[in-house]
Amino acid sequence: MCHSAEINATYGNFLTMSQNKGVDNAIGFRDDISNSKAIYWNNRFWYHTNNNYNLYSAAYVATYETALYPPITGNYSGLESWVLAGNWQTKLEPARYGN
Amino acid sequence: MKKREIIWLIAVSVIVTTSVMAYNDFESNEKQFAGDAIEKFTNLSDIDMQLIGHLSTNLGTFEIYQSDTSFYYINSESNRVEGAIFIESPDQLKTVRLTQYDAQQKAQQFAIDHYNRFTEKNFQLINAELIDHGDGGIEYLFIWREFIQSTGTPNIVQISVNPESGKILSYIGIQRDIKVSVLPKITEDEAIEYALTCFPKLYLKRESIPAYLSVEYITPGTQSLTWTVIIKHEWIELQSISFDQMEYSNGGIVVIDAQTGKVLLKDMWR
Repeated sequence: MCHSAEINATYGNFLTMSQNKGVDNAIGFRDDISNSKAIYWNNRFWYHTNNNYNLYSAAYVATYETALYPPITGNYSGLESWVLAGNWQTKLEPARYGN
Repeated sequence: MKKREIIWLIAVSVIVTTSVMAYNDFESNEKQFAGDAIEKFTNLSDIDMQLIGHLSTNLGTFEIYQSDTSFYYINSESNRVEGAIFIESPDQLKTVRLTQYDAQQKAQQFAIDHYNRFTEKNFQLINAELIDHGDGGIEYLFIWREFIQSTGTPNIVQISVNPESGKILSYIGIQRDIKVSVLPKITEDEAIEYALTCFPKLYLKRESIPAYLSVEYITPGTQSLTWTVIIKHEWIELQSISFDQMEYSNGGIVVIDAQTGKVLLKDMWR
């Protein structure tokens, strides 16, 4: 979501607020992000986490691949402004493996 | 078993075996081409690498190879490395020791060493920034774009740099021949006019709206001369509802065909 990593004077920051409420890791974006590139980023991010990448690698590679996804060539449409709050080494496992 | 059935069985076996061998040869050749491309790019030999996937975009199809913590994106058509990622731990991306100028020099040298005829083409730096990803570390990002006259081409060089060590973290180097005219029939003002029709409820100052002329791949493998119009309605306060401090952004990116004026893409902010 646009500006989800930006600090709002009244409400603070979505990421830290999420962590304060018990979320282990959160990712947001500082800038405006365009819809089509955000969908692409989202698909690539979950694809990589599903392939056992940690959160940092999944976000980094997804962002990189978003630049290869035109239009606009070489433009991230705001996705490069991703911010991770939490432990970058975290890997996600499907819920079916949990207790 | 009758003689005819035996002959059929042998014939089918030969066809299947030949097909499997041909496929294996194809795979083996593909890997050989990729290996050669990566060795040429890295200047290293005997790299242990694995094909981990494909990426299809309008720019083309890329085969993705992984070697340890490095990833290489090879253009399936040209067998050229057009992208590389050298993953480092965010723990090594915490401190900014390099100035932007020094980081840019390192990135530019990498471009000269890895992009064919970088200095001979009209590449212009279109983006240079230090990006803080929070617990995901910090990086410098530089993007150059080739221009023909005042038209941007799809040829970009994008490099990110570790602000602490100066190591290269990622590289993109797109190389395409330009197959369309770079002279538009639609003016910048007309393009902005067409783009604004996509957001009839927004009130914007025309002079604040940027538009860029460039060759883009709107559909797979096809170049189009376009105007990209960036429409940002800066923070509207929603005073009509009780969330008086809540804000949202509106508008989006509109891509206009620079020859016909047709809206090719409307990509909203979300």
